[in-house]
Amino acid sequence: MARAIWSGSISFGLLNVPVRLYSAVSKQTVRFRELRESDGSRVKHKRVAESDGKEVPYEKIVKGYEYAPDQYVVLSRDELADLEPQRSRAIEIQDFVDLDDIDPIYFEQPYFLGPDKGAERAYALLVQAMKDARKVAIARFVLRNKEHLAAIRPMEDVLTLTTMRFADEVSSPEDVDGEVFEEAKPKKPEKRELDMAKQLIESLTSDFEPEKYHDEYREELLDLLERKAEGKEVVSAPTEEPKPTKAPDLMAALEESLAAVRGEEAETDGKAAAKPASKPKSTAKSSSKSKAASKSSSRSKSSSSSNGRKSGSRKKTKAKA
Amino acid sequence: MPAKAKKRNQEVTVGNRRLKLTNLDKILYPKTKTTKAQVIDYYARVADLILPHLKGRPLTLRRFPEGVGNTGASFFEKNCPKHRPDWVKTTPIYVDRRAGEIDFCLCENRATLVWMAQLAALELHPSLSKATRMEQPSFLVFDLDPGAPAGLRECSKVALRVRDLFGAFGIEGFPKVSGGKGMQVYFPLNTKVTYEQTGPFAKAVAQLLEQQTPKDVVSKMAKVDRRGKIFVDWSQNHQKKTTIGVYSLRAREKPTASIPIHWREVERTARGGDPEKIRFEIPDAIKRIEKEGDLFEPVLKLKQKLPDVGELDDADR
Repeated sequence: MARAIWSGSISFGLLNVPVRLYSAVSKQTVRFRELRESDGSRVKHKRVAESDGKEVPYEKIVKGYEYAPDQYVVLSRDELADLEPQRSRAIEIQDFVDLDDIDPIYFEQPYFLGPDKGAERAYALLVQAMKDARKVAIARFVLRNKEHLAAIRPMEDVLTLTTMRFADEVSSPEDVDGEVFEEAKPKKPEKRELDMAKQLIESLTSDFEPEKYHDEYREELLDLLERKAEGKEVVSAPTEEPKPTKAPDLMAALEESLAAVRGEEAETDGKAAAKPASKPKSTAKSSSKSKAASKSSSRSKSSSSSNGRKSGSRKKTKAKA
Repeated sequence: MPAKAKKRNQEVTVGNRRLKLTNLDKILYPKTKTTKAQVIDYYARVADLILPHLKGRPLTLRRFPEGVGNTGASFFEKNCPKHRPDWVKTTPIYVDRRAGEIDFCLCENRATLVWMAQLAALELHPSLSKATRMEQPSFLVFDLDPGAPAGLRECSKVALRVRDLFGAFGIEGFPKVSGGKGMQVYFPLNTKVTYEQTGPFAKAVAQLLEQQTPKDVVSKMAKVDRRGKIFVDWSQNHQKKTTIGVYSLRAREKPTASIPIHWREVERTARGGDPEKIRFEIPDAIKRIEKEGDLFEPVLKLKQKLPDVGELDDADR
């Protein structure tokens, strides 16, 4: 369950509905970590002073506004905090408008508004009223020290809030480059061409199904990452281990078996058990009899080395064909 | 602007297959100025030895079209290139749900090997399995990867311990240098066995080594401190993984190759012998191979069985 990122209340007229704000998008971007190329060490960023290269701790950083080249007006944290918008707990509805009146260019970031504890009834009432009125509420509220404009509308049984850009934040086409769009001003296209274009639009017209579209770049990126990981191009990062197994038990069993075989070798060869087998004989036991014997030896801790594999039951296999 | 070397192309016949070689003067290893022509020459010379080790195994190519200096342009290629000559054999292998079935290249003859070198496929990574039996690994492998300042010497010590551990069960292993910083030890099986058995077994061995000497060995790939330790990578005993093929070149600064060595050479290195003696760049690698023949031949033929340590059957329940 996602955690609320803000809580406050929707207010208009006498109505006051305590709500919580939840993010409505989960960013699907692939995140990379910065590593040193030579050994895969993680890279850390440090804030250092440009003048002498010394590290500057967070508490010692102030914010400066460059009003002329190299001329700064400095504001302390406290000064900035004093300026922060005060009405920080209310979503104040200003107007109700038709959704079609809002150009999508104004929409920014979508959120869900959920009822706060005890406000479920008031919340349900508001959702129903807005659904019946078929209107969108335009509201102002403060999130993360910034005043926002937002559109609130019901989606099924919940309210969504979409932050919006202020009018002065949205550029007009003339601001971009007058001539770019000037060239494209309607000039009376030929009817035949227009019909053809319309026909093409017609033929491609369908219902909007968001599921149909995928971030192909991301998919290809993930695919590449997967292939590289499989090809063992992994730089000291954890990878998926093949199947969880009872490996520690297996290790203990291996250790025990090993002790058993080495003990037995010491007995038959009259050598110290710790002596490494410098030239291992190419033998491999395979008879079912020895299998049973080895099983019992590794299962019971008390079994002595003589209870282990009998060298007689080992079969010589061809070392080299 | 310096005059660019003219692209030298050449048409050749390799075992009655016509093949066009392009960009022969392209430098693939800037440090040693090794050209594509030299890489192709290397693979053509070692063909008789390397081919038996590639035969029948789905092959992953690691290609460096812009040379080793530009790893950004390098890529792993499991899908056999679509523009391949019609005589290059492929095998369809199911990879996973996302990728589905992939046509892997099979390198069955000298012409295919030369064609791959022509694609700047410096590194050849064959599967541990044959395409006909993907669930059955032909051998068990440990990749011993030293974390600096540990090097081939420390690696050799661990390799000897791995050898002795298996030796206690009467199983013979065969070492090769990886061509990079470390080495690999192969334990031929060539018997009916699955990755569900070799994987956990290899893991147990790695863990045991780590438990015995935690200062020298790590068994986990995770971000633990690996400095001065040998990472015993057991995880390549998995159907989806590959290990650098024997006699393959490496895409390192210099054109080193993954070359089989004698246990006595491992012992000498462990005792402090010059590790440079077991590093082989192209000209030395060819000389070495001509002198020694295929030290890895038993890996293809020797039939051995993993010891039954009692818990294997329970482990993959």
